[in-house]
Amino acid sequence: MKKFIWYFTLIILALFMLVPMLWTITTALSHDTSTVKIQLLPNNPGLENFINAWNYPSQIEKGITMGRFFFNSLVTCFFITVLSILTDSMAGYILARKKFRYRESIFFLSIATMMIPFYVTSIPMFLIVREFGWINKFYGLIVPFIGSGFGVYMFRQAFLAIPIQIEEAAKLDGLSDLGIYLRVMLPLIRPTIATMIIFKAMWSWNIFYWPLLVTNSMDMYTLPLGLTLFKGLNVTRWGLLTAGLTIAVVPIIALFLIMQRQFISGLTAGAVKE
Amino acid sequence: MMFKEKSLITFLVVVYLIIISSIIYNRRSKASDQPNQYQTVTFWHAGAGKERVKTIKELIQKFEEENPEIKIKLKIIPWDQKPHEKIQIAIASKTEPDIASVGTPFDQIISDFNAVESLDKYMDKETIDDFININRNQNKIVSVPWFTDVRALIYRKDLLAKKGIPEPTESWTWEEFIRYASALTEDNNNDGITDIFGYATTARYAYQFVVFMWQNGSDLYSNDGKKAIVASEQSIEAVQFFVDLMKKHKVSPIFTTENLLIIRKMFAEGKIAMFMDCSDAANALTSEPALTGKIGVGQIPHNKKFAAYANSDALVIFRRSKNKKNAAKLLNFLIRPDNMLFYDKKTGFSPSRRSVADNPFFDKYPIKKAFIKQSACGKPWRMPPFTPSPRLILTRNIQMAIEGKFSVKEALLKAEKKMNSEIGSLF
Amino acid sequence: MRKIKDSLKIAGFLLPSYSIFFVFIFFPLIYSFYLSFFHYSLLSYNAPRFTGLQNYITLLKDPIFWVSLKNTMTYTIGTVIPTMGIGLFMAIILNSKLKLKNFFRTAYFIPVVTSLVAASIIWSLILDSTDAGLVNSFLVQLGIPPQAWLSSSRWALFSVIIVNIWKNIGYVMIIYIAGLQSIPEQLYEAITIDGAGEWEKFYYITLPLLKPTTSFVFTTSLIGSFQVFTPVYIMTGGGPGYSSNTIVNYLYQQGFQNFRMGYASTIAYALFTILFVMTILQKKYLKAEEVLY
Repeated sequence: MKKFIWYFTLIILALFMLVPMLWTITTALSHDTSTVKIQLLPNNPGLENFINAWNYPSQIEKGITMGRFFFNSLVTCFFITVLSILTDSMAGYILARKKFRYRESIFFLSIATMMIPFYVTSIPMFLIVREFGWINKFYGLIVPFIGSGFGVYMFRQAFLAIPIQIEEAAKLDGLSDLGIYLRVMLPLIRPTIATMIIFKAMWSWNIFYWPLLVTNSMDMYTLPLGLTLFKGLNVTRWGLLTAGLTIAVVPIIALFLIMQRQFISGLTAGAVKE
Repeated sequence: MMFKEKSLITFLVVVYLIIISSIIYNRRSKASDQPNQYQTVTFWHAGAGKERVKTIKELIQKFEEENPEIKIKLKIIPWDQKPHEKIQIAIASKTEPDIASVGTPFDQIISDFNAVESLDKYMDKETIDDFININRNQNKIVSVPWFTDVRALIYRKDLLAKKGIPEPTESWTWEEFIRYASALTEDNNNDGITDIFGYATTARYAYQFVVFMWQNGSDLYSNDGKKAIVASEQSIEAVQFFVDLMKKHKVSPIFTTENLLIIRKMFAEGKIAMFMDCSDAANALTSEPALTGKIGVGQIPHNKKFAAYANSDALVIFRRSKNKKNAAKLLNFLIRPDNMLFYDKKTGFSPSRRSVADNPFFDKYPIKKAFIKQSACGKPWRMPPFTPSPRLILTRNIQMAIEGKFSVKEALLKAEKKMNSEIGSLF
Repeated sequence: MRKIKDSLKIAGFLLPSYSIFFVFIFFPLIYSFYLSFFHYSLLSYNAPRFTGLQNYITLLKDPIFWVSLKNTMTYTIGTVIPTMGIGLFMAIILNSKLKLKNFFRTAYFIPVVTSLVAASIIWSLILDSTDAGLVNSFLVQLGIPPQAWLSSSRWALFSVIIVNIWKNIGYVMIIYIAGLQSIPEQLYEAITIDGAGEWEKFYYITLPLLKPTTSFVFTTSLIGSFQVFTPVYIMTGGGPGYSSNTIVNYLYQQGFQNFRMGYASTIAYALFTILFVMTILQKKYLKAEEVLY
């Protein structure tokens, strides 16, 4: 009986959590409308919205489908994730393990990067990127984010949690600092890396305001920018928009499912030892 | 994860070399980009509706055929990508286009800052006089609306017919309007919950009540632009009328922050009989299979005056453009009566020129005709120079009045004070 | 010599990420700090006009800023504490040997990846303010009078808070599950022998050992919820009146809608100062906790 109550609570809560996603999928499967409806079951279910949404951009710019946006997002997401995890973990390692002057202040700077709303910094940032000639190029979408305060913070915590003896043993084996970082420490925090892959990928997949500033033509749109095509000032094509949203969310959910195991034990290292 | 130290260092060095060389390369190519056999005009178009984009592309193709020496570089910016912010940042970084289509009253603000060219010298008098509303700032033409987007009264034919209420026309007075709206408001099963509202409005949008100020002979600012007059006797009366729709007569749901899409949804479900909205919305609603034949568009009522809110997408030419003559050519091409007619036919917007509005084509389409008729008394927002739009101030104060935190008079006095303090404050 | 080599090494490790910070974050940070002393609009063709501390004085006297700050505080407390409570509760349940727990974990994580724009729209439809609205008709069934969820200053901020709790529970839950998994099983066994019940286990072992996790979640959630924007922008626009206006919404209104970028920078630095102080206090508090583990 007690078990039954637990399951009941969990299912009710799951429904509460899933309603917007269910609504998104249901609307995507229903006939496209321009007035929004609340429904949890599709009427005349069909996949036409997905096909139409996929091909919709080609009606505005020849030869461009949502596939192009998907590709752009994938490239941006891949490079941001890989490069920032590398650079952040390097900084995190040295901030966790070496004693040097101003270490605390340097570390604090990385946390401070999270404290200013992007609306204010985006404009000087835009001016710099324009000065570099990176408008409408992948460089402009990727390079500003290949290091992040959030990542440095997270990795520093992860390295702190690893017993110092392991490192000392490696030192006795004659490994250099870079060697220790690469061969000993990185494999040990593999779970944190998996965690960061999720967070970074999710963040760079959804980032909206920055690509909006630095892209100028449709062939450089990322997915979130592409989705704006379905939403007008007055009229929104709900069927197409929700189909697009569904397509956009699938890779992230897949990534979460793949990483779930490591994700869960990974955060421990970052969170437990402050 | 068995990297070698050297490979990591090499990898990092390569990444940073690529980044730095791209900076050098791109800066060079940026400098050598200029020479061109064509004269290129960049045109930023706010809005990316499928029909609109198709039509504008056809028009540009036609223009390039007529003017083979000019090439148009068109950039479409969907409304959800905040074109006005993009233009602000373009101005701040000196990368604005030659010509752009922007929503009013943004055209006026950028003209205050002297970012756009005055258009008097590029247009002939006959054309200027043909416009229902041409956007002037300090007696200079700063932008040309290439269509009007007026707010008219959208209504459910089936609900009105059921109660035997005639089609809404401009002859309706406020009193008649309330009477009809009350007749339409209905509680089917007497459970105290209104099932159908005669009218629906929301204080999230200022035009929803400023229209009534205009109709009552008042305005936002005095004619000389020196002070705000929203707390004048007539204004108070008008806003009281608006608030009473919700609170006293209860013909509208009490909506202070609700988005119009909620009203549209309730309208589509048959829970609302009339509301004020634009032609885009009317077209979208008519295209719903469940609503075919049930939607009509009529005129909003009047009081002392006839007035409606009509914003528009207006064409501006930027002052820093090196190509103003050709940009003006494009502008004059787009507003040419035949092209305007073509555009409005395809997109469903109302013409901004009288000669086009009179075209018999529109007689066949009652909804289009209704919007055109409404736009005859339509007018846009105008602010004194260097003044931000009072939209936020007004809506917030009226919202508080609806909630009963202040009386309408107090709310408007507060708004007026704040608006006065903001006149010219951007300079 | 050795020392120089060491510092070079340290610099070599720090530079890849910190060079990016310097160019793309610190420079803009300093530049916007500089702008906060100017009368500046993005539209202006002329150079920004230096006004000294004028923006800061205006800010201190600006009632809307204070209201927005108060709302942001209410919002932060209203979001962070329940999110952490519910997140912890869910984590404890889903860390037990429950069938289908992977399904539930994924289900509760899905709001984290759902588009906030779409979610805000659908929630504002569900929280329909009319008496016949979805939530209201449900309340009436329960004998509770209907409420104006988005249309009254009593509930507007609350509605936004609900949406954000919904959005963040999954994030907190996942982190707590990780924290729970790191607690050694032996500790529980020992206390069970002493005859302790579920509640004692939770109170004497789980809660103290989760303290560091709690601090971590708290810091990140704090910074995140101080910068809330999208749900407010979509659901209430900050109204009615200013009852749900938050700092970042106000900053956006001033910078892009009222064209005062200088003043917007000032607001941003007020926010920065608050977060900065809070984080430092937080760090001091954390230091004392390190003994626990």
